[in-house]
Amino acid sequence: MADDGVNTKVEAVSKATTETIELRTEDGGVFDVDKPVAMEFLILKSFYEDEGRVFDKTSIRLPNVKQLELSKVIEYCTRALEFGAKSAAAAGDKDAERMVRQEREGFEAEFVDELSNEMLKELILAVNFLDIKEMLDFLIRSVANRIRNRSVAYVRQFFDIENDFTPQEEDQIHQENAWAFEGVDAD
Amino acid sequence: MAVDWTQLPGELLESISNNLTIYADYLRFRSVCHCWRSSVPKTPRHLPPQLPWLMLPHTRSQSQSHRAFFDVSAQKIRLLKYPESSHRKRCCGSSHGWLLIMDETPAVLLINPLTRVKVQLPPLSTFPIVLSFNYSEIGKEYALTTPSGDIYRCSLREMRDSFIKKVILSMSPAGDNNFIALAILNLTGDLAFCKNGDESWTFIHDAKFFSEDVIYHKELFYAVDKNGSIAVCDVSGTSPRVSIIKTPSQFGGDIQYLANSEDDEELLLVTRYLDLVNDNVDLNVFFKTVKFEVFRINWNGPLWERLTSLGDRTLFVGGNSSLSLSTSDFPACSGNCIYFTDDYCEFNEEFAFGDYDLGIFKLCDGSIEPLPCYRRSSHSQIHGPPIWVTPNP
Repeated sequence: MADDGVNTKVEAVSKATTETIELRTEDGGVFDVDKPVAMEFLILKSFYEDEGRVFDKTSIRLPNVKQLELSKVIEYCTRALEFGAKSAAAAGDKDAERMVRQEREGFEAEFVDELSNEMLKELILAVNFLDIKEMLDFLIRSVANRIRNRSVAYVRQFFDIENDFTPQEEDQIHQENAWAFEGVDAD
Repeated sequence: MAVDWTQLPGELLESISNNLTIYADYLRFRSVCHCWRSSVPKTPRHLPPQLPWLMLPHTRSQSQSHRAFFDVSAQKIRLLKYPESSHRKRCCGSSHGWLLIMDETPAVLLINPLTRVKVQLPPLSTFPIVLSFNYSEIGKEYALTTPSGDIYRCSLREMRDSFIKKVILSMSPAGDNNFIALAILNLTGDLAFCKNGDESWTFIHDAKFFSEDVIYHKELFYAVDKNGSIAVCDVSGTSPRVSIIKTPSQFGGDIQYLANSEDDEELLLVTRYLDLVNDNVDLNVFFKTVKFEVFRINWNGPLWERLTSLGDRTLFVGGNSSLSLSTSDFPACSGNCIYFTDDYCEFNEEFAFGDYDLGIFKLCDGSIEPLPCYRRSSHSQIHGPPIWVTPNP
């Protein structure tokens, strides 16, 4: 997704009166982000609101975030806000609430399906840094789903972790609950 | 940026593990590396109630030290170390992941097959109607008294097989919890209980004959009789208090079960219809389940209302403490079903032949499917019918 496209999308969403913040990623990406979306990033929110800074259009550098991740984050948060508004509007109407819920579930399923394992991991770190609770919960749930019924070797490979148990330690771990290490999905 | 996941903040690791809903996944998570192992507790506290396993009958051909369990969630056989396995023992309860085992002694033992922890309950000789117990009185080791004051004698085996129908627990005894065990007595229809630390069993006299099934629901024991009337027992004080809720007689089934779910307000009653079947091969007759019906209590009445669907819930009934689980966490399990096992000791004594009566009853169309794991055995054992056990560390 070219960041030009994202910028256009973000700008199209913003109304004339919506303020934007300029965010720069570590690999040179530049994004104009709507204030409501940017305020979902608690790291920014506390920077402005808690610190009592005046909201002006200075550019903010995000040292731990790359363009690809930021564009995904913006996409998710923008839609999350939309769903939030739709949900509030549907409050009290069970059918409408259900429809919004299903729509959201559909979007989230598609969103996460498109993410490679590598991308999912990078996003988690980025979102953890930006401190976006709702998105982090969603990504964590997705990671948990991806390691469900997988072997220990698969999980290590997924997260790029070296096995630092000695053979005796591993043996002992297996002995304690041998049954849990059988019957996993093929790697 | 190369991502070093062993350096992940502890809270993120904990969050990931908190989203693992199946115990086996949690165990494997803790086996990845030292850092992960130490960042989450050994015994998880967040797991939702797990889908039960079916403890398969003890067979002599199997290794003596292991017992086979069918894991419904993973659709696989698991072998657990279980050196206590023996055809001389009887399991008469499965509650919160603990089995209640009786053998040819007065001992009453709780064991968790997953953790191998054991808890002793007061022995059979401490029931108020047991006058005496003596190993040297061979064949009539126990002397019991009837309500009219007569005395009769029972052997070790008779006591093991027919004294207690079922035992349920209010909660898991793990961690020295203040659990309460409640036993339904077969011969007399009495209910008796003991609390953690008690030295003997106490009768709940006013609940006599409410002996079809018992369940622990919102800190009270609910016991049901054949007609669906309920005895609500509060044993928290110094002596038990019972209130009776009479309901109109609404069922035609042969066995009633009570079920509830942790997060539900609802109390369910499941009635099981049996038919006598001829085995044309050996000319034996035995019982087979033909259908179930499910009812929900309506406290305004009070009466039981028929439910035609359980939604995404599935029930597990049999010799265990009935389970009601939502299947949304468990894709391998279909909702709106009743998974059942053999469970009729009063019927069983004469008819100890034939297959075990177990399967999956589907409420949507009334059909019964066999359980995927079970293989026919021509040697049925009274002491070993399969039983549902919740893996509960």
